[in-house]
Parts: sequence; C-alpha cells; structure tokens
Amino acid sequence: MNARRLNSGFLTALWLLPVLALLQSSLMGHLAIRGIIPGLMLITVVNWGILRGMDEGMLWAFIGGICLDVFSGWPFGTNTVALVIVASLVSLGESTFMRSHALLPLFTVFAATILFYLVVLFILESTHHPVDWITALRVDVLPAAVYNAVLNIPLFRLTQRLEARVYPTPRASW
Amino acid sequence: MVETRGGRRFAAFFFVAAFLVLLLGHWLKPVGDMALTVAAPFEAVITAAATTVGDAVSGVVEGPSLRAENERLRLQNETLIRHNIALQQQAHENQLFRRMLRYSDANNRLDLLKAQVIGSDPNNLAQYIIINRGSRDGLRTGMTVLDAGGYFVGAIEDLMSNASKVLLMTSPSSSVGAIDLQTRAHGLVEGTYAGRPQFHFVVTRDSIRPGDFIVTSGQMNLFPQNLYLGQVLSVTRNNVSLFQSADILPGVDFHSLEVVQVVRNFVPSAPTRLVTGP
Repeated sequence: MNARRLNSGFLTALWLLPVLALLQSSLMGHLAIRGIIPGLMLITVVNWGILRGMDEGMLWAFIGGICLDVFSGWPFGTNTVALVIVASLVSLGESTFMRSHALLPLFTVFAATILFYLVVLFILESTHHPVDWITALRVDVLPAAVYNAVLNIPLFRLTQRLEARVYPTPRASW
Repeated sequence: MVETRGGRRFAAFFFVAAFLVLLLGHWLKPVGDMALTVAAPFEAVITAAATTVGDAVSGVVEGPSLRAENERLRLQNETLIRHNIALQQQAHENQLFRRMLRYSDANNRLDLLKAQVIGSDPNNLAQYIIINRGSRDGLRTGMTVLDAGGYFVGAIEDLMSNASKVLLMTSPSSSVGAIDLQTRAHGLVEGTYAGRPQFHFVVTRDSIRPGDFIVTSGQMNLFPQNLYLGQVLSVTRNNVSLFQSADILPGVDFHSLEVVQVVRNFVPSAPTRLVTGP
C-alpha cells in the first residue's frame, strides 16, 4: 500500500462523499422512478473500488457509509457495514480486468445493489424491524439494482475522469 | 490483484470499524445528529432548487400519468363532495348538541406548525423524510405530522435542533390505530414494502368495504382522532382467519410531499407499562 497515493484518495473522499450523501438525501428523491431512488453513493463507492482496489474501496465505503447514516432513519451504522461488505467483495476482482470490460461495471453495480440491500435487510431483521424479504426484493431491491446499473453507464465514465484527476498519470518527457 | 499483508490488515481494520459503528451506533448518534444539524440548511437549499427544476420537468414528462391521476382525483372529489354534504348536516346537528351539552373538546383545534420537507431517506427501504423544524421550534418525538391538506403523514421519530426525521405511515415500521368511518371497524394501518399501507387486524365479523374512509382512531393516545389516513381499495378475507385486511390508498401523495404541518398541541402519552410486575 502506498500511503502517499492513498492520501489523495482519502482527501477526495473527505470532501466528495459528504456532498454525495447530501445530494443522495435531497436531490435523488427527485430522480426517483416509481419511488425507487438511485443509489448515487453506492454506485460511486463500487466504481472507486473497481478502479482503485480494496484499500481505497473500503476507505470510501466506510466514510460514505457514515455520511449516509447521518441522513438515514435506519440504525446508525447500517449503511456503513453494508457498504464496507459490498466494497470488500467488489474489490476482490482484478481492477484492470474490470476497467477493460465495458459491461462489467454495470453487472457489478447490479450485483452490488442486491448485496447491499440483502445486508441491510439482514441488519434490520436482526434489530427487530419488520422485514418482508420477498416483497422487499421484488418491489424495492431488484428495480433499484436495474436503475443503478443503467445509471452507472454515465457514472462509471465520470468516476474514471475523477480518478484521472486525483491520480494523474505521469507523462514521459523526452 | 495481489493483496499485501498490510492491505489485508487495512481491509480488516475497516471491517472491524464498520461493525463497531453499528454496535456503538447508539452512542455515536449524537455526533450524527450534530452533522445533520449542520447539513440541514444546505439540504434545504438543494431541495428548493431541485423542486423548482423538477416541477418544470415533471410537467412535460408526466403529462399522460397526470391526466390519469387527474381523472382519479376528479372521481374522488365527487365522492368527497357527497360525503361532505352529509357531514355538514351532521356537523350542524353536532354543533347544536354541543351547545346544549356545553361540550368542549380540548383537541378540537390543532396547533399546526408549517414545515418544509428538505430531504428523504437516502435509500429505498426506509421511508423517512427530513423536515426543517426541530426541538428549537417546540417539536417533540412522537408528534403527529400532516400534509398541507390535513391528511396523516406520519410521526416524528428523531429530533435535532433545526431538523427532524419523520417516519412515514407507508414505512413497514409504522403502525397507526385506525377506524373505518362508515362501519366503525377497528384495526391497525401498517406500512408495507409494496408501497401501499394495509388496514390489518380487523375482526371478520366487522364490515369493511372498498371506498370506505379510514381515519385515526386515537386509541392509546398516540395520535389525534379522526385524521384522514386513506380509502379502502380492496378487502382480503379468509375463511380460516380471525382477521381480515384491506389495501389502503393513502390520502397523501408521498412522492411529491413538499410542505407538512406538525401538530404541536398533541403530545402522545401512551402508558409505558400496563401491568405492574410482582
């Protein structure tokens, strides 16, 4: 792990993720389709994990999860645990392989959304909240997974651009 | 990807830290509340801007669905007018009786505080909204929240100084004592993941019919009486079950909720313990 390089990702996470959480709570409700809110934070964290690997993926998941928990009505920490678990699994894949296949980030976000909500439902059930697994999966989770996957088509490009800004590739000088 | 031992330790650290946040969430909540207090004004600005833009866009995009909704509301309005005429007659009679009996109802006039909806829960499963009024405006946990038309929205669950989180009646965690206005059948209106609340625990000998109005019953003194919850869409009966249930069409359109009203002069006072221990 290169601590100096990780520092740039950490500093970016410190300003970007609170802003994303703010947008997730205020703006994303207006982009809801049939009550399904797109998961801007989840998509960003997954994309960063794909592009930067496990260390930064989990760092972003941890900070992003805490930011989401501030706005959420779920038990504090639910988003943090769910995002960290998702980021750890996503980052297990080979990042360069993921980068080079255009459709893989889409499928990854689809699967990550389902996993995220499964973890959340499990935590909710464990904390004595009423959970109807089948209905929740059918009505909320699957549509959200499809919505997030489609939304990731432009967002993955944006995240790649952000990565290029945070970690500029050194140019060869002749 | 080859993970170094340091990398694995780094990942393990975040796993442990995330679970600690969940386990110690109760103690960390004040920090989260403080963060939300700071974020609330920014959230209000973003929401106001998004609402202005969203109104313009939705007018173009949602044209066909708005027409269908308009038709549905027109029919509902006609029904309500008929009911209103009947109720006005009853209100007139009621007024006469009250005068005769010198009856005074302490909760007849609700002290309502207007609030802006500045945010919603960032995820799909939890149904909360965030409003721009908090403890400094005299709000307390459990207070009833209505929409601009006086229909039941939910109750305050979490309180900051300048903002509050409101649990919506459509949330699976919400349960409201309710009564069928026409047949006086009692039950509970509970939220579901499918989006439409249900009128549960209505004994099969009681009657509920599609089109009936469901209002708060005021039982257990959790919410004021006679607040409109919704209308019965369909009834599900089972020969072997003691209870029947019904799908409810809420009076509130939760997707376009911008302004709400908080009932300030009704503080829930449910008994915390019904039977004393030995």
